Amino acid sequence: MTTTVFSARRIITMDPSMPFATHVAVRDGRVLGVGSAGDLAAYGGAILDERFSEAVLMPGLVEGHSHAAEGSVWAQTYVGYQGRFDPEGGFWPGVESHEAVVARLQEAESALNDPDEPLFAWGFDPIYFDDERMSLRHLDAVSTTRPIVVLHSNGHLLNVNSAVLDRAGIDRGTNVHGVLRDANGNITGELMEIAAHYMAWKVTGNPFFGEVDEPTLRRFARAACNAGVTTASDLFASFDEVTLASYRAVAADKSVPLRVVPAMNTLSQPFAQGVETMREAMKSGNDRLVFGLCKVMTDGSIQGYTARMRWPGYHDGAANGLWNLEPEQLTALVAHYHRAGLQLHIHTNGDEATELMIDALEAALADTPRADHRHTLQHCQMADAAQFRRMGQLGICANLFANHIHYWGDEHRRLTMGPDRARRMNACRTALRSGVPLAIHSDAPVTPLAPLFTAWCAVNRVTASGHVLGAEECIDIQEALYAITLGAAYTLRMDHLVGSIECGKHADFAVLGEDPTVVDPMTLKDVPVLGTVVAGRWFPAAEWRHP
Amino acid sequence: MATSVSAEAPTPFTVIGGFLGAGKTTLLNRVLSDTAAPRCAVLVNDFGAIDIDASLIREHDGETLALANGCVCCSLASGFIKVMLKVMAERHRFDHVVVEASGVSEPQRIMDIARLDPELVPNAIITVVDACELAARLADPTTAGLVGVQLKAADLVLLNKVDRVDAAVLAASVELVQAQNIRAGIVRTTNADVPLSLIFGGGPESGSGTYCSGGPDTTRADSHQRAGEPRPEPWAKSEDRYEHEHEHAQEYEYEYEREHEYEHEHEHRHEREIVARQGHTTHATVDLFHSTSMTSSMALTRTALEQLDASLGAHIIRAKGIVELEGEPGRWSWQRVGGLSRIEALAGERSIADAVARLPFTAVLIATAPIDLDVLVLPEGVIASATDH
Repeated sequence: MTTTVFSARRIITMDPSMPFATHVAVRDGRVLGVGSAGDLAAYGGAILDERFSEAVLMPGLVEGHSHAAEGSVWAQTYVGYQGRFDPEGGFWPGVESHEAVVARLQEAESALNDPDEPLFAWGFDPIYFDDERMSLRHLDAVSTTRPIVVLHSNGHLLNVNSAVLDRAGIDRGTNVHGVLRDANGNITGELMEIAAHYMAWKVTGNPFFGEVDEPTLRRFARAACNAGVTTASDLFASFDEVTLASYRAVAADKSVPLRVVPAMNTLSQPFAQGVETMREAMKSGNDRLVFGLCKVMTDGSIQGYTARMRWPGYHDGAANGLWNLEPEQLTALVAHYHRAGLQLHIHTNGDEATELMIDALEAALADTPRADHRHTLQHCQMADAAQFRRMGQLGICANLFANHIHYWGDEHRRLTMGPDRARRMNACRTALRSGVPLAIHSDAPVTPLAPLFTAWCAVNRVTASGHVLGAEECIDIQEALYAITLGAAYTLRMDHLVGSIECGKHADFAVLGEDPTVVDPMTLKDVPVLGTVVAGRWFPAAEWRHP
Repeated sequence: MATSVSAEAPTPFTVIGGFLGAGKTTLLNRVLSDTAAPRCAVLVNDFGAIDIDASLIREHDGETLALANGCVCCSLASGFIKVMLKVMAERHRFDHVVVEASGVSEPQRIMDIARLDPELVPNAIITVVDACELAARLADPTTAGLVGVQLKAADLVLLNKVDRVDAAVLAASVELVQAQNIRAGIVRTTNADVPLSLIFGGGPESGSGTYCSGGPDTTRADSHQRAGEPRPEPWAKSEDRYEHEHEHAQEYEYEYEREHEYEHEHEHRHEREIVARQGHTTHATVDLFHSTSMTSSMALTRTALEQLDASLGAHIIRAKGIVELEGEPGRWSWQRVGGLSRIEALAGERSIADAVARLPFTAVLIATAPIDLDVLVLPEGVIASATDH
């Protein structure tokens, strides 16, 4: 029974009984003791490991709302506006013009051997291209014979080239909603809505459809390691046999540096069957694969205009968003899973969706009282102060989408929400003031998996254009660090296992190059992540490889 | 990976919309368990609500349910497009694709799939509405928009559960539907009980085999296609099933009796329905179906067909025919659902022998009130069998 003592420049424990330390003793993959070298002498002989002596240790970061797709999207070509690192550490510079998109795709195209193999790209965000829409002109410049599909980051649009249109039989005579045209009536190759998407995927196949496989989870774990994350959710998981088998295989492999918490998609199955599926899965959970979370999708996204908003609706007058299920069905779903004793993670973007779900949870709790249920509203971006007060009273947790403030805050102020509601979006301060247990998240791969960046968003609320969106809702660094460790762990019902460095917990650490508690808040996102420790084992982050 | 689209005859595509509890699943259960239904791929949201007699189930793998009548029910659990593509990869196994649209989806956007995919052809959007709840749904801001979209999209509206509302509420409900959509055919039902021919468009022998009429005031039977009479198009049905139906085709006295029920419950059901009618005189009554079949041994002019179509009253909610048009090659399909008609070139000729046996014009009309032949502008040479008196 070996004990290892790691020394560090500083250890931020998140344990109020010993907030800071310099040494941590690890035995059997767990934390045995925390303190100074002298304090740890009480545990007897140990191997002193000084590899982190210049580094700062934190509890392994907890991402409460991400998706395993972070591990699969990188098999395709990234064409997002912001530069991003892939799980191997390769840097994909942002593409800031249509010409840059074309150049990126030409490069990817030239690497394909089979002339019929479709080329797929993802992450494109038209919101940054005010002047011109992407069209056939751009994608046909890459190839007129190889099918090309570019997925937009909002998930509602695709761009294709003429090779896809030809194969799909879409031409000037096609008159179907969702096949977009320019001012002259020419089809642009931009496809919206289910029918046009169906047709595109019918001719090219869809590489984004598949079950979660092992390589995806391994890549997801690498991305997590690069971000200092040791526990992450896969927050909308199909519990099909292939996916479950992949989770189990990866969890059994100690060389994979991640504890995975899949949240089961409840929308796809009858309530009773879903409960049964989850109970069955829970029997096979372990230290690295934690079952129990049930995910509900209520509405869509704000930037996609599919979130359900209360009065006054969308600022620019767009029609109200979409429910994923009928409201009363959502309410019935909540009641059923609550009664079964399971924990719900409920996606609500718009404040009407949030209201419906608070009502549903309140009714479910009145019907079947349950202390410590930890039902969590995910995103919950537009909740107002009164809704947070109700959530506080009802014990409902919030996992707010802080990254949204930076990525789309300007657009929300200008287009979707208007200044008043944009100012209060992802209201971390109000949540805390109302006693709502708080986590913050990235929704990776929607935005990059990087809790320190997420914390930076919650602390500074600076939009892409540099505007501070609702300064009164900023939280301090300590609160933000809590939200990406114990706060998130609490919503995953894992705060007794991870989220702080204290005796009995998993020896999971984020290894940092600087102390995030003392940096200038505006540089919090730049604190280097050197890697992670999971169950006492060191996993270095990928070295960033700029081209 | 890349595939091209095949040149075979397209598969008809039907969207069934409506809110939770309106009766969609009841209707889908009817389709799935009817021995005379065409071979359908039925894509549903709530797989668990599908309630099929175990003896009819051939295979069940958790996501699909293969039935003895050739229908397959597919769960939309793993995503609409994914499931739809899977169905299309096996489309030779099906005569028809039916998609259940949840109350929160836009049926027209789903129907766009059939408008876009050459392997599919739009059949109808059918919206099922709970007559008890319609007014409340339209008054509730969380659902009003959704209900409006569903109603506006419909070719046919099944105003269901009319046995639970009185005549005044029913009349108000009809008005609410018409305020959203004046074009749609409206059918008043209980238990979503309609002849399958109303959905699939076949003649009296298709779908549920019989949908007879006769109402509280018309106890005399009307419908029927006698054995030996020229029959309407088999649409997409196999011959053996056809023969099976044929044996049982005869006159009935009941409302929309289904074939297999007829065999076993003939007397019993008759009594029950009579009693029910007497017992619910203050309640709104369901629509009773009337049909007329038409044939001609000569080709029609397009103008004559269009005039016939224009002469159909609003109560004629379904028409389906196959026709040769004078001076235009090939054969044509004439379809009317609700107030919307289409004349389209027919692809996929079956066989020469099949084509020779056919009359140049055969069609069936289905109506919710007696069809007055004198009002129809019948093209020259068309014989209509007056089935209502």
